[in-house]
Amino acid sequence: MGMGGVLQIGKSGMQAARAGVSTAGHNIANANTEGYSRQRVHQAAEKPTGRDMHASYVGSGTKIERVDRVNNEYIDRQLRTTGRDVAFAEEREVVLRQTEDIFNEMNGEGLNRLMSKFFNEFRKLSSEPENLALRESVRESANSLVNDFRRLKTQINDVTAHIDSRIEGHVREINQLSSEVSDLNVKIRQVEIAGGSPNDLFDQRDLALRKLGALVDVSSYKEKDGSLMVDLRGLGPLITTGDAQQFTVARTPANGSGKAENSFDVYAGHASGVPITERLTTGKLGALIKTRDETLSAMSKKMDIIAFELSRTVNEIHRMGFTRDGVSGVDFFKPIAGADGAADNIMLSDALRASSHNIAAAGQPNAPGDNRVALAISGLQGMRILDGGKATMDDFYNSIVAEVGVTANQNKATLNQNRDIMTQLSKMREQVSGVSIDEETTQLMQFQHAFDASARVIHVADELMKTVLDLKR
Amino acid sequence: MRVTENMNFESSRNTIGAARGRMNKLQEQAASTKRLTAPSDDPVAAGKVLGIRTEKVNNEQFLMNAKLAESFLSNSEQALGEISDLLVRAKEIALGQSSGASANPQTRLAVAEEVAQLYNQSIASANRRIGDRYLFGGYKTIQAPFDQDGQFRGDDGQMMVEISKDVFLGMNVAGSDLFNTRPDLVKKSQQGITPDELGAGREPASAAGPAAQNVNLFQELQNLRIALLSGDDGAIRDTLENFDQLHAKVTAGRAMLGSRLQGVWSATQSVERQNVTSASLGSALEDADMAQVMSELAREETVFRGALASSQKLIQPTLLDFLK
Repeated sequence: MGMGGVLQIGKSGMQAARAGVSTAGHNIANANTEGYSRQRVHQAAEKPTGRDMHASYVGSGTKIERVDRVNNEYIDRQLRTTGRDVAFAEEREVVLRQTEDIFNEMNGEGLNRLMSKFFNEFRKLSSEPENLALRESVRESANSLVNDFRRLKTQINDVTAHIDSRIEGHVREINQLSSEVSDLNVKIRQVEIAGGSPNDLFDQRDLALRKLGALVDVSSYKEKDGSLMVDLRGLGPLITTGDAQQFTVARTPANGSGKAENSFDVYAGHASGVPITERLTTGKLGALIKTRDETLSAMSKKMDIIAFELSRTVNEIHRMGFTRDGVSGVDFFKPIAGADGAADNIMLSDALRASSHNIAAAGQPNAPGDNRVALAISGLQGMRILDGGKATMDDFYNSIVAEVGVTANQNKATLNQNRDIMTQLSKMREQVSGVSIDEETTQLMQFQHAFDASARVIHVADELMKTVLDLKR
Repeated sequence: MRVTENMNFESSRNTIGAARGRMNKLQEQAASTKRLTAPSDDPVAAGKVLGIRTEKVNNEQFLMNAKLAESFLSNSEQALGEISDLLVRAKEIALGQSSGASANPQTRLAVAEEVAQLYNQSIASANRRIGDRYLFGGYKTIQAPFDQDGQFRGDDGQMMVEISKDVFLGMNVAGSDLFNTRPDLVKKSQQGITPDELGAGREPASAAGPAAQNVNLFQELQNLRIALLSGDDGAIRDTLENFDQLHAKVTAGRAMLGSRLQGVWSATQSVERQNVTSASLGSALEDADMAQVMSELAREETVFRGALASSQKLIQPTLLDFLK
């Protein structure tokens, strides 16, 4: 080995040390970058070249084999799954809280109070059927009641509309993330073919995938060329190299499984063919669809049933009675054809809106003190007319409120549980991939010393060279 | 174990966030004094609370109804009391005048005048009203049930009120029932639907009196007056038996009203008792235990301070601080 070899060794050491310093610096610089994994320089001894005067090989310096990111695929995968569950519960919590607020029962004048007020006004009227002021207050309470039915329905529709706008936003995000991943696939492949290791691109792709996984259920596998193939679980490929399936949303008519008229269906590709809405059961998108098509839709249906049965049964009795003017066969509520949309359409009959005289309290004409019809209507409060004769209107309504409560409560529990798991997993990831400033500082020092020492090697080589050159003098 | 700065920051954030969250919840409870602010806080309790609220609203109305029924019944009872006294007086008169020995045309003329007064009083008592509502007219509550001839113009409608959940009580007694010994023999006018169709019960017709003939109170007073004026001893004697029957009838009516009043009182009491127990149940379900909330708040504050203090320690100096 010639003198040049020693210089070469020194140079390789300095280069490796500089790479180490750079990497440590890169790590420190990215300590707070989301999804960043710390990187490590992998150094290896350079192959010894040729034989020297001795029988053994003399080393010929070092080389930088590669720069790796330190990560654990298994934890990343876990993070994606748990992240998806957390996102599901978080998203659901937002809309369920809105739903709970609709009912407003714990601290405000909810439907429950207005309904008991309505029946009690009839009870009051039954104690004094001659009293005109009481008739007026029966009408007033009925008015507040129907208004509240309509308010509830409007607010349920508002939450549905809000969910739809979120679905639209999420779909846009999915499309963006899918494109990002497929673009990164192309870039990564280019670097990998050239023999490089695009660590930062890996990190970016992992982050994008994690965000994507929070929105919809995806599974992924790596191709040999470094591309990441992403499948929408159960629905086929979402992302290939350089190509990403785009989602679209479209307003469609109601379907049999709870989706309301004119709310969004989600399609893979163009808005034609079979929507995939019902297949989306996890992630943020799943949470929104589940809340919209199960929770809210069931609730809305039940409100319709209550409104319909209320108007039907009250009318049935009311028609048998006689108004103050001795007329019978008068409807109290405007008759509704069927339960569908009853809570949107419930209102007082024209006769009632015209005058409270048209409230039929009596069972016979010209009997101002006759309270039998008023009494019978107030008796509806305690009658089990809903749920196949098992529940009163009160029971039925309270069970809706309790159901929302239970759903929200369970969701909260799931959320907390998943958040704990998430925290734990994040900690585990941080343990493996996180940047420790102390550690990097030590690395800096270590490589700085290595750099100094390698420079010293060059210096020595230079001295040696001088010595040789001086021999002749 | 590798511990990175981010882990420290993250766990500080988490502990402080969690402590703030718990404190916020407690503060909400302390400010509202309610344990339940949304159904999801305790869905089962929330469902029960709604039920209790409905019950409370209903009970308030039941109590109002009971008050009203009580005033109806006790006023009816008073009116019947007056009529009962007046019947006693009428019988006294009839008794005094029934034997020719103690009577002469002059005294009979005078007592006939008194009987006329009794008649007017009886009409007035039978037309007793509360506010604008006549007590004895059945459903025909806004016109006087008896005209000056003692003709009944009301009906036999029974006004039922709910004085406790599913407990209905008739708060009126129709005059046709009270002032006839055999009301079943009096033609009743009945139209419209029967209350049974509507699910509200009606008092069964009063038991028939001993006489096969119906005796009407106003008729009988008129009979007595006419008998006195015409000096018909036999007719005067005939009224004696009839007054006994009427008195028995009215007394039976008073007894019935009395027992209904008892029913009202006991229903009221049970509703009030129920109000107390359901209020305490509702409060147990819904209200925050303030002592507990406050002590928990104090404890959380300590935890929070601890979290802050430990965060300060966690965010330690790094190696960089020691390198020159």
